Amino acid sequence: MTATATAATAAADIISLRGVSKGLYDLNGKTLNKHIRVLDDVDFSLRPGEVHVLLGENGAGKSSLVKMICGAIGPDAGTICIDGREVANNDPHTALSFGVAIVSQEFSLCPNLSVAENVFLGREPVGKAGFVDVAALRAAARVQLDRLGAANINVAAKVRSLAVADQQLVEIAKALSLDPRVLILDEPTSTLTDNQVANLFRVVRRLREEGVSMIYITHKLKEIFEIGDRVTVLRDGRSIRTVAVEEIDSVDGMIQLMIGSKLENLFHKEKASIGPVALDVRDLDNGKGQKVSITLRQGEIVGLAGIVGAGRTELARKIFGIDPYGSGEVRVFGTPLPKGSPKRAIQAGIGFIPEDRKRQGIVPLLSIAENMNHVSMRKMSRRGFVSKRSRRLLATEYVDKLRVAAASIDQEIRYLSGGNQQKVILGKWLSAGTRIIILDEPTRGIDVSAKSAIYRLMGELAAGGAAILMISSELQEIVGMSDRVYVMRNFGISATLEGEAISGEAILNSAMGGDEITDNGPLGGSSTTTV
Amino acid sequence: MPITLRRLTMIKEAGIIGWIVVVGLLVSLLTPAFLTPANLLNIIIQSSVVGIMAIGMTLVILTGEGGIDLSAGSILGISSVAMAMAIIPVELYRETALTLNLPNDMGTIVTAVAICLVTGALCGLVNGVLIAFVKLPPFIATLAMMSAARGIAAYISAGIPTYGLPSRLVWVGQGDILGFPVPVLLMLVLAAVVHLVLTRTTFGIALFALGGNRETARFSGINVKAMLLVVYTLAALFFAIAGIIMSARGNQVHPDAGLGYELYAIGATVIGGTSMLGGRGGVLGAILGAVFMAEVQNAINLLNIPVAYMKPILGLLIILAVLLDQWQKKRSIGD
Repeated sequence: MTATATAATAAADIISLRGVSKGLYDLNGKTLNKHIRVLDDVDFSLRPGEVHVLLGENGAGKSSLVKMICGAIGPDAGTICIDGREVANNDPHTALSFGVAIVSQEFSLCPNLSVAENVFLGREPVGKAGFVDVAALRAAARVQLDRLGAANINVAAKVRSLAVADQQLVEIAKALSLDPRVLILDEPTSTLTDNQVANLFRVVRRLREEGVSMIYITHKLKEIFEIGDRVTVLRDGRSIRTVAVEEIDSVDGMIQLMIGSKLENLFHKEKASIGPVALDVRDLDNGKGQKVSITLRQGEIVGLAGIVGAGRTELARKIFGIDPYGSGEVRVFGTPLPKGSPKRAIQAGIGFIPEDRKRQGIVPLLSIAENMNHVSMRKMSRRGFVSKRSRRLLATEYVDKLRVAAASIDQEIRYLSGGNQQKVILGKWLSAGTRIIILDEPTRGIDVSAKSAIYRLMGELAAGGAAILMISSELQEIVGMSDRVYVMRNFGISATLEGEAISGEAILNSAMGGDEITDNGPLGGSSTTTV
Repeated sequence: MPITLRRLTMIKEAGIIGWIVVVGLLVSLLTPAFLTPANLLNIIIQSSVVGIMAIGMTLVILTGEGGIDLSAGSILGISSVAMAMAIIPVELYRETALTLNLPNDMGTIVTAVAICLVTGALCGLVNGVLIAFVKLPPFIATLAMMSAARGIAAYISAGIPTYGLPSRLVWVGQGDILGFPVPVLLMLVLAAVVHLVLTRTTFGIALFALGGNRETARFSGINVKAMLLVVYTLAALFFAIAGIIMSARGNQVHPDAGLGYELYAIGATVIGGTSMLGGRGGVLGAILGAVFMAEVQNAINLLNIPVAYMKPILGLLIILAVLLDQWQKKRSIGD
């Protein structure tokens, strides 16, 4: 490349990557194998004041690309220019001094420090005698959080005590407090409610007006049209296409670019015959004085909708026996289920796939086969002994059935993608003969094609006579998959929708109820609720 | 050849086996007294007390979330004292037992051993209740037990050691079956049984699950509290068995028996490749870890190195062994 060409791009781009490649690397960013390419001859540029969306499935190289921009990993080949100058050895310190800040998917917060301490960690305002000026610290943190419309977060509270969605906002506030010129947001909305998302978008737009350039990673395609200026699609470590948002003609086209083949329909719902009542919850005391009654039939997929904090997970945990409850009754196929014992719930045929896959769903150090055995082992055991052979056979059977993409059943589950991990967890329950499956946010953090696979499996299971209760904050998913929908608000059921009555708007209206959320701003109009 | 060598390094216990061989080779170059059948057997007999303790410690450490038992040495002590007091009449306890006509009938011995095991198990049960139900951190609960059990052992025995035990009991520590020393056989049988339990039973699978991720285990219907209770009780049972062997080998019971041994047991467990974070490891490594520590002690004796150097050297070797183990594990994953 000639010097003049470099100068020309320098004027236009705040960051530009030319032909960068990166092999499989370890936790320290050291390349382990140059031939297995995580990034393969990628070109990427970021213009001043634009929101550049990075699209791609899990494993497409999005996170690696932004890690490279942040200096966390170095390229094997290619050049990185920041602010028109080629940076030979980009490292986190260099990137930070250029004003590159990142809000990563994995939180970097210290749970035992307060919100304010986390936002200004290592940069605390110091008062007289060298002590931290707590009042100034909290006031400054307050300012950052208010920019995000997160008035409900107490800056003195320990981060540990916050809900996941609020922790996400603290993470964003932390990045904003650096006054970045380039802000990287890695799936910032995956844990946020719709009105928090609306607030975040408002902040993004304001920052754009202030001239901040942003790289925005998301799995939610509709978000592109709301805040994106340009989109780059990555697939298998390659940059497939960069396009201005106005030039995008269809969402399906983008999905096709991402997965490289024609995607027919995201939601595969087979026609299932609805059978007898499998799960019958009667007047269960769900806290806050709310008594909840729901039923679930064989062959049915029932959606449990509502905003984060509406008491959906709490209800599921009580049904499954993880948490105790006061009054009320749960019947499984007509037989009352004793309270507070997951073991009894499992014996009765209930399975629970929790929302926090890493913390509640998998045992990261163990293999696929071992993770799959944790429930079925009881049925397979003879006097407590389980044959290794039958364990492996069963695991192999379900790895095949659920089409888990893995090198072998002995692979440690932590090396699988989110979608494949979710399939293994599903296999854990199915292999134990579970007939009633509670899925809490089944597709959180999973890419489009894996999502589609999970939906197809759910459809097949229902057609096979399973009863499925699906908790989800994604309206699309609820509307696309459910035979019936219970909407929860403030720990109680606020609406039951069936058939044609199931729509995004109907669910949102019942979920919000129009009261307690007014101080957080309006619902964000119809834009954020597009289904 | 390269394939087999590579396979060998993939074995979980390869790191510690390597260390045992390397130290063995080094020492046998320095002194001919090391590489003799009698000396090697001696090393393994030496390792039996810490080895059996390390089996129990491995179970505890596998539970994760800070699972540890600092009271191991004290439980060994109190169990041994309880056993001795079941044999030797209280009014004669202060006498030197060699001058007494000690009961040597099977009934008394079996009763004494049973009392020893029950005492140990009860201490472990208390640990388990404090950890699983009162929800004390294992470090704190077992630290308290370490102090309490040692204190009670000293109190009931009036702080007096007793020398001389019935010959049938001494056989457990000094006897042999077809030429194989009883303590070594006991250690190997216990290790084999626990290894089978860990790898082939629902209990073992559940233990690795809850050690790797307690929440996931709970959501899989595993009764975490019951598991913790069982594990701490079982571990204490192993500490009591180690107490029987230590007493029988030395033909004496001292209220300070096993003082500080919890650290050797933890050392052997960690050297053997069990992760302090839980959820990863096994008893075979722990036994090898104990053998390694006995080997080092033996070498220090044979090479006439002043005893004062023994503990610093042991400390250094623990660090080196664990570093090597981590390096080996990284390689086997990276390849």
